[in-house]
Amino acid sequence: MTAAKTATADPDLPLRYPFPPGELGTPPPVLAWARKYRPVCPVRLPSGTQVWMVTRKTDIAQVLTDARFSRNLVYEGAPRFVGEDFTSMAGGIFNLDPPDHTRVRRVISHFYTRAGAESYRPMVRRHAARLLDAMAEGPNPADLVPAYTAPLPLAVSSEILRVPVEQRDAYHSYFRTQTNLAVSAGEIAAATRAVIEFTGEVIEAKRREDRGGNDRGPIEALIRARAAGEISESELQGTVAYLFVTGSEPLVSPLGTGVVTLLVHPRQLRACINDPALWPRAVEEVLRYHHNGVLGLPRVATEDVRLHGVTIAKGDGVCTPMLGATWDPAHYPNPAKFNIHRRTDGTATFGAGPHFCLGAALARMFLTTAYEALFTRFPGLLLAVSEYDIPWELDLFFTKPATLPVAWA
Amino acid sequence: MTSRFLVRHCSPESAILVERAESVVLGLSPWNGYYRPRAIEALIDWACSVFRRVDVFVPGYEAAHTLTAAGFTAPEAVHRTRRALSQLRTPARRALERAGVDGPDRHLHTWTQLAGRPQYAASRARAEHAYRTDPAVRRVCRATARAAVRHAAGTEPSEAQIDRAVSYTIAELPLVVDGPAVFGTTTSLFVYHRPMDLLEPLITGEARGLRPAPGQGYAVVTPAGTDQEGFPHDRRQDRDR
Repeated sequence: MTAAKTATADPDLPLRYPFPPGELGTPPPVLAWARKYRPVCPVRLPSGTQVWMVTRKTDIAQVLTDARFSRNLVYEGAPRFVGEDFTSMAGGIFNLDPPDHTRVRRVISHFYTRAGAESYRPMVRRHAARLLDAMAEGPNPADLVPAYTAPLPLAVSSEILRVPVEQRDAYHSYFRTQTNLAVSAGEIAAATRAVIEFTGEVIEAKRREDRGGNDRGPIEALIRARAAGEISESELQGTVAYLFVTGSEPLVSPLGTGVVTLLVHPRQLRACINDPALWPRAVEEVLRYHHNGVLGLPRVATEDVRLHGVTIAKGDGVCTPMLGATWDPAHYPNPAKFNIHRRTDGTATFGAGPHFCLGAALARMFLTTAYEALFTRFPGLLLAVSEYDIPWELDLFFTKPATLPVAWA
Repeated sequence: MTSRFLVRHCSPESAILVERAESVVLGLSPWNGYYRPRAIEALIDWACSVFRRVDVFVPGYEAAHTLTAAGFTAPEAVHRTRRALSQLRTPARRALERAGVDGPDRHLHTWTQLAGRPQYAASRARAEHAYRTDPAVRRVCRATARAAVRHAAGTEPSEAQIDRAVSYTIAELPLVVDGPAVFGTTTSLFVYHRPMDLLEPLITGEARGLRPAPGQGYAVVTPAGTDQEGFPHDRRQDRDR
């Protein structure tokens, strides 16, 4: 192997994904190893496909902004985690490259600007209060996952997309399967078909109901853009499916993981409770410290690219774990230290370039509101088990506690 | 030296499993006079000398509901529960290490930790459904919770107190009816130190809504010649868990 080999600690290559997790929802330690010794590191996905993993912040920014790396994985034989998941759906903005991506994204981007996100804050507060009221009436200690961290993002996302939460709940298992690493390729493909079917039903129902009113959400905007000929039918269907897949589950992860991290840093948590102006700082640090996914879905090289002496060949998949960027010690001193008073922020967790996370402002507003509501209502919230007994979901793209037992005075 | 233990199987299906189960599963109970450190270590020493694989579990966070039902504040209940569970786990870990078990913490569980396993979650959902729909399951779960709260409170609990405490019993059911799935084995022998009333209608088939999985066996294991071995069975402190 290379001269950088460090005797006993080096893992075998290619690395196998999923990686052994870090403690308490922190990044898998192998990311730090790869950043140091194999900045362009081969990784084998559960599907058997081998991809390259880039872990340094500057390299990640380069891949995300370089047009030679495409998000278009809508073709047979494209690198997949397990099977034909939502990266295989034609037309979704997740899978489009500019200029198509720019054209479709423009239709809904105003819902997700800072001002757009801010307009949803009272609604998030209302759902948070409702769930916390119910929690206060129930058993104590309680599992915060079914009480708060799972239903709040779903309720908020359903209201933003103006789809009844019950309708969406019926399809919940398919959305979950989309992001599961431990199921078969066949199950993934079946779940993708179910998501497409659900998406079609939602769009048809909205087309029937549309009376031209003013209270419209992102799905209605896409339907109108379709009617106006600005986007294609597959762009409509694919982007609505994308909004469902990404609108809720990716928020469950930082909400739960962040609560654990705050509870195991009681001094910083207390500072936020005493001075609510600090909540946005806490959210920035949670966003830096955690990412909802570990490896990140692949891009594909459209021509040969050399990086750190490695040739990434045309057609190769490249993954850019955002935790590689946000834990890069060259940019974040002592990255393993959770410190809400850092001068840096969590922006790198949302990526870079044209696919910079559409929901970044929404995620920030949501988490700030959700943490503040929880800890204002239960300022004495405590873990009901040792933090090391909290079970973590290991089979999903997303890092999150499976159960989060808490108690309050 | 390994202490001698008396092993009694609890169902016809269990007779063969006391000899050949792929894994033995030991449930340790808090606030129970039997499960003192020396008894725990002796039990695990014995289990490791007889079975190829030994898994030990202590309750999850729902155990605190017994104490809140008995009148403790939630933070106090959590504090006492965490301390009690730690007093079970420390000698258990020591014994597993001494027996040379590879990765003792992988064989020492709380059911809160196991909640991350889809098999536990699925079985828990079945147990909750059975509690709601099967009178026999409901009866024994509530009787078990009643005894636990009575022991903690020192008085006869009300139905409302039992409502609050019964989550403990329901959360335990997956480990005793679906051991093979939860622990990833084909056969699993659950061991307790005396017959559990909770299990009786499951074993006899009276509870139609919840049955032991194929490969699930039960045994009561007690120190042979208890009085001489120095493991007094203090009935006053022995709660129905």
